[in-house]
Amino acid sequence: MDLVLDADQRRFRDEVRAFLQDALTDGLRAGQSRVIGVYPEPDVSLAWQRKLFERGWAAPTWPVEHGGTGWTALQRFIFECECAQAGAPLLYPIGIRLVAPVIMAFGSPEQQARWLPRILSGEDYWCQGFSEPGAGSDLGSLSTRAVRDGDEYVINGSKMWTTHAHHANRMFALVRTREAERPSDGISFVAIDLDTPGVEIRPIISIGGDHDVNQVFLSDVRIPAENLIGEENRGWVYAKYLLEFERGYGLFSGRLRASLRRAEAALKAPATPAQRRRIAEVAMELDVFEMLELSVVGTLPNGAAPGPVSSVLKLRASRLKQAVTQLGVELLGADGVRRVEGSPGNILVTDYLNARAATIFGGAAEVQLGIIAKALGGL
Amino acid sequence: MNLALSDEQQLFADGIGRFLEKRYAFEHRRQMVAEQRWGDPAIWSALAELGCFGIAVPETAGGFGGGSVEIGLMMRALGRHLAIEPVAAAVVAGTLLGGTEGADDLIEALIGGEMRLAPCFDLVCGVSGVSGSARSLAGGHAAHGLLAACEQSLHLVDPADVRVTPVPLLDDTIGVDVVAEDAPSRRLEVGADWPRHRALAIARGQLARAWQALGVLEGALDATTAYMRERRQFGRPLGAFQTIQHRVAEMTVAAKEAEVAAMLGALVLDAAGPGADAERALSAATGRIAAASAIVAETAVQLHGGMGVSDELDISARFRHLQAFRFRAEAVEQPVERYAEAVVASGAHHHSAVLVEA
Ligand SMILES: Cc1cc2nc3c(=O)[nH]c(=O)nc-3n(C[C@H](O)[C@H](O)[C@H](O)COP(=O)(O)OP(=O)(O)OC[C@H]3O[C@@H](n4cnc5c(N)ncnc54)[C@H](O)[C@@H]3O)c2cc1C
Repeated sequence: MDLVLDADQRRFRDEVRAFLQDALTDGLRAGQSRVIGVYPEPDVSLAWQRKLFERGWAAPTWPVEHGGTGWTALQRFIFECECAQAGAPLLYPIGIRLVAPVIMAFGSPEQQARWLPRILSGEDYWCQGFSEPGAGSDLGSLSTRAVRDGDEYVINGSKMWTTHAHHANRMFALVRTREAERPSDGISFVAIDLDTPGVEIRPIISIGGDHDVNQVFLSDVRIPAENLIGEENRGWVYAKYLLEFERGYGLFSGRLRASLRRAEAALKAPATPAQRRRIAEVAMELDVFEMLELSVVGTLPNGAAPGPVSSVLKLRASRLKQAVTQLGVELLGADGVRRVEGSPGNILVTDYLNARAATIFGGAAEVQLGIIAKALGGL
Repeated sequence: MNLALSDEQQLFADGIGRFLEKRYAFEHRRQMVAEQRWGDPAIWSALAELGCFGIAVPETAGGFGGGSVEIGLMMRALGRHLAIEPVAAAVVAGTLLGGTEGADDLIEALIGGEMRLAPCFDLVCGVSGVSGSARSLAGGHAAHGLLAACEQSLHLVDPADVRVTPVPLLDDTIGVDVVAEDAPSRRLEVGADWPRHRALAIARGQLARAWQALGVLEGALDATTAYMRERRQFGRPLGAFQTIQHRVAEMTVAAKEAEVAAMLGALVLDAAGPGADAERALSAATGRIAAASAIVAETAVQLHGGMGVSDELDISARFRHLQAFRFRAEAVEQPVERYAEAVVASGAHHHSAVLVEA
């Protein structure tokens, strides 16, 4: 067991650095530095994705056969760390990191050929239609219905909190295809083109005052039956698989460190000893979280699902996001009340507000604790 | 970089774990603690045979040349079984002696388990002898020698030549208060790299205590989880209540954090040696393991009800050990203070904690 990068790993790191030096423009960096929600806006993230795509690096978690890098988990760790350190935009993960593993594992060869290349190139922008007005934590009780009609499904219902639906052209969604004794046994996993008649998208404004999430209304939306992914009524299995990638497959430590840097940069005077101690408390947590990510994600085989430990990662990452953003507003002091559009202070305030969502989306903290107690504690 | 244990590391850890599982009965420990003993000589000899005291000594000095990971795995196993024997002191002593010339006799006796040495960093080594005082010194009770690790030199002091007062400590071990006034000593030959050896010894001591605490808290978590499955109230296992599940889950998360914190400390110390990077990693590790210790210790006692606050089970001993770890590390203040002054002030925390340069 050792941390020292060997010659190959060092060469790889230098290659990444050289690429970043070359490809990462000030404009892209500035775009990332203004992020106040979960993800950058598509003009920023897609511009960066195109550069990565040209280099063959858009999908570090995919196998080579689908156009991924085929990197080891450790290479990916180094890559993400260097990208975050350099201030590169965060790639929008809902296509690449969330739905792609499901398509690869459970989709047909036709579906793989139809969707994966367009996810990779950024031509398709997916959103996630899981939650509904009546089904959040208890996702299995969802009621959006899909009824088979010849070669089509007819979908009626509504999806809620759909991040970036207003930017997306496709949505993967969980829909009810049968009434079963266990509600989760009657769910299917489908893809919906958002330009289909009957789809209506309405914005929901966040606690920070911006537009990231939406409610999506589906009225008699007809999708071809070939948009069913995997088997009918097995959607719950695929959803749980996807959630492991959502919760425990991102590498957040570098991004959190960049947020910490941004918070400190807003200080008008050198940090006082008391401020340095507060920064130290958060940075110490972050150092240990980085080791957690390295030891869990950094040792997975390429493309493998992380398992229930993903809930530990999710819980730690979300709490740290809140700790970092909370520190950001603490450092602003009384200026934390000022909301001057575009000012560095307001970016921190907005990020702080929006970070309250981190322990709610992707499964609330309480839900993660329940999973940890059952899966890891045997209770 | 490689994050898997080597076969040798796995074998070493398994060997110690199996031995303690078989031989380290809590009843026997209870009796030793009641009699205020330093530990069990038979266990000590057996640990010597398992290689525990040569691990910290470089091969060139006659030891087994283990690194922080081996030391950590050993201490974790000892912590899990709540061993009271002063193995952490032996790790520090071995590291110190590894930086000497002509102390082969001491090294041999240390590795063989014939000599128990208590390292001490608080004394002053003057021309007329060793002076100063130390409080609550671990491993000093019934030790064969004190190792005064001064900034420029290393001295072996006979406990008979100083005032040594045993003090029972919170973690059920016996420490000593030492007062030395121009005590005679054997001066051990050290080289130009002595300051580095001394710094390494301090770092390993900190690391050893952290890994030991990790073992203690993992034991508390497992015992609590098992108890929550078995203990029935209101017609069902306590673990069926959501509030219990969430508290056990918080313990699980804390224990996982403590585990990777301990790994961080060990791996950075091995990769970068004593210095700024190791200081950062060890501060973070100590601070976070201390935080995890508080969560795990308090929840474990609470969820055991009356049994948790009695001496019937080992839970109360685990609580005492973990609090002693926190007090000794001055966990609430010191690691944060050090990190703030050494790391935040220099901006090093803006860079990865794990991708360190060798
Ligand atoms: C910013 C943001 C972006 C999102 N993006 C998406 C998206 O793109 N796609 C998508 O499908 N969904 C998305 N979501 C929805 C998200 O997954 C849900 O909000 C989440 O699952 C919680 O559901 P809920 O909001 O209905 O809360 P509820 O289920 O009503 O729960 C309310 C609160 O009750 C507590 N609670 C719930 N269940 C339990 C329990 N079993 N035990 C103890 N306490 C409990 C928790 O504290 C929880 O926060 C997003 C949400 C947010 C805030």
